[in-house]
Amino acid sequence: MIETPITAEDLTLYAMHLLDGTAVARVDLLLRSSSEARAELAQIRGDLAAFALSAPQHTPPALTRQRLLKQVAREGRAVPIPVAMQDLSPFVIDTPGASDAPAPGARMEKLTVEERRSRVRLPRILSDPELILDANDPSPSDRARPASFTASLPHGVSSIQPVARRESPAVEHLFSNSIAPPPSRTREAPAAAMATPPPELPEDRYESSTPFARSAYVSAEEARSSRFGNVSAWTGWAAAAALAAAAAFLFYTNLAQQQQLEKQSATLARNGAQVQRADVLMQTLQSSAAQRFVLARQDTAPVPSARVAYLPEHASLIFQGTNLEALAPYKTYELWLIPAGEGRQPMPAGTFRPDARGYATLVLPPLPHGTVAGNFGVTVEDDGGSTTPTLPILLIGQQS
Amino acid sequence: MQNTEDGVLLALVGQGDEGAMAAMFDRYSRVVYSVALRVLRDPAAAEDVLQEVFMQIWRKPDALVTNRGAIGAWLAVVSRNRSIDLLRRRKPTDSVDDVVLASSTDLAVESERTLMIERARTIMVSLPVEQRKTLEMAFFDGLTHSEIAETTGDPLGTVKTRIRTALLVLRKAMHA
Repeated sequence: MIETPITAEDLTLYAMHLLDGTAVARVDLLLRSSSEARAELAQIRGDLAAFALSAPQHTPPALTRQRLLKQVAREGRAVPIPVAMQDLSPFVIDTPGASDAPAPGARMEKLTVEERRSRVRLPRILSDPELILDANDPSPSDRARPASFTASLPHGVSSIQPVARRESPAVEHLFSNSIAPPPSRTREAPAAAMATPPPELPEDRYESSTPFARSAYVSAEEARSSRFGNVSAWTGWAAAAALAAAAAFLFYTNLAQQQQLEKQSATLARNGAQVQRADVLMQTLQSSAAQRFVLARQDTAPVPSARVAYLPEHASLIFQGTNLEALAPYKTYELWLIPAGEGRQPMPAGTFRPDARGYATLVLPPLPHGTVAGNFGVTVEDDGGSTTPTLPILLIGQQS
Repeated sequence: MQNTEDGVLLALVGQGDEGAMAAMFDRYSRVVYSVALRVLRDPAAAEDVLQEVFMQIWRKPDALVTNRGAIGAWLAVVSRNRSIDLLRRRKPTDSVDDVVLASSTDLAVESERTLMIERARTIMVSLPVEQRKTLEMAFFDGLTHSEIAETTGDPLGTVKTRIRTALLVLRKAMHA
């Protein structure tokens, strides 16, 4: 079977996602090989964007903005920064079998919001690798890696799995600072200083790494300075005190957060009930299964009519039309809000088409807040609505 | 930030500037929401699309940077695609990175935006009604050319030609 060539018309349908799977695969193939096809597709998308602008313009409800900005604040920024990637060389992210460096395009698993917040709020004393190393962790090489990694990560970036026991220069530096050999020796051979303890070093590494033990194996020349020894000892006490203070701080922060959470849960439950009620109300108004009755004098013939309930403060509007005549294809009814005051232009308040029984509802169409209505009217417009009403006005309001 | 250029706003968004994100929303939310509402005819669903599209900007601002087309135009197309996906109850069919478009339509300034919207509407009204309706059915209702042919009784080839012709007329008139 001879396949028909792909035409610009096919590209147009492709741009609108209206082709089936086989045709899409063919176009994909063409796009990979033809820069002209790619250029034409981009052009078609540009045309479609211009066409999209012909849609009737509506302003989104004000709450949408708040909702978005809340989510933006909640998610924060989750973009890895290049410096952190260098420090991450001993770790692999979602890339099984990879070596030291993350493969190009490797995806980072995002941390939860709580994890990010906890990192952001962590007091310095707990996130500072030096202080953690001096506390009570047994293995210097094991300690150094996660501590330095946490410090180098932008908050909210990723979770990681260590795959190689290798310290980066930054880690070595941190470690050499904390283990307290004399500065000159550390500069010459930091790795050697780590791997080979000096002969005076006691066997118990935990003890040797505490600030108190440091003074026991400093050189004889350094030991002459008793003042320095005292400072070193006090540093340890200060670190322990700071650690305790941080723990207390975290405890009270956690307590406050729990209380806040309980309050928010209660608010959420109340809101949930309100939403449920509003949902039922909306269904009653909008559902095609809802039974509707219009009560009138017995001898009155059915005439088109409508009711509008409008709250300017919230820009909330509910419209219910009855006995509305069916419209020709490509036509629609449009509701207009005529603002109070002379010379003000009618504002489009939504389009609608009646069902087979002549009923139509319009619930919460997008409207600007605070516009006091002088009246409402209904006209027939081309499908999609209009920005200015087309006469005649079929229904006009009377405030009750 | 009201008068800040799109590129600068986007760079700030890339740095995690929430104020820039708010400015971006103020500038383009009406376009995105209007397109979504036209497709979905449901304010709540249109709000969801609006939220999703702008969160895409926040999460992947570089997707817009790599798209050299005007941001407003890009947003309008992405909003339409997401809305159609929702209408057809399917998963998003493309990644935002894939939507590359060429457009000279700069919608950053409100007066320009209004002008372009008016111009697009005027051009569409001037089209033969069957061309306009066919394009609307394809773009805003997400009907395939087969579905449109079934609805209108026109041959498949005619439907495809009408869509293409309508877009070409629009392209020419917008660049005039």
